[in-house]
Amino acid sequence: MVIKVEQRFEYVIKVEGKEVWRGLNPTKVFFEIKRQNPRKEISIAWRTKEKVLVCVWI
Amino acid sequence: MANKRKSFGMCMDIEFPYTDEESDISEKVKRPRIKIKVFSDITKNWEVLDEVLADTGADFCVFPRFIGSLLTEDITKGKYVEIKGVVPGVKLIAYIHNLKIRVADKEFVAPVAIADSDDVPMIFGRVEGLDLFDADFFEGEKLTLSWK
Repeated sequence: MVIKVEQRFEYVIKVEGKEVWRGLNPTKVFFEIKRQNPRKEISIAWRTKEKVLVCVWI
Repeated sequence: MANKRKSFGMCMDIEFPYTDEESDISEKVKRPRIKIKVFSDITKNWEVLDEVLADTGADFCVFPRFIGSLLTEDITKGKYVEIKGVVPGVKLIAYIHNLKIRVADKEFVAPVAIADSDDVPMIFGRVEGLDLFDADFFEGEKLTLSWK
């Protein structure tokens, strides 16, 4: 039996604002992309497929 | 009463257009997302976090676990907190770290809750965050953050 887990979120890595990678585990790829693009702006975003976001408090 | 923005005097500002995102309720929902930089004790560089939700409903900034691990050696060394939302009984474990943040040219230190989960949005909350700015959420189209 195969249990399929729905992917609710993902990380997105961008080079100079352009998406170059999406996935769940950016650990290795983030540093590799930084290494390959030493003078460019590398940014990371988090996205969800959830369609409602609400407030949080602590 | 004087307009607060006018009384702000000489100030800097930065605009972030809202982004269109999917919604169950309406065809699209626009959300105020911003780009910030956070200083990493790991890389000794300013790391760029994009699409961070500017959330006046959030007391504090919140980052997911991977982002925390990019910024600090051991996320569990921060103060233990339990984050609560509107869903009854649900708590998210997080650790508070004081991190150096930049929004454009403005630099400050803010308490950030680093969640012990990756299934958590990046949120720019009020305390030592949005509250440092004159924040203008303009007609659901753009967010302007102004500061002296």
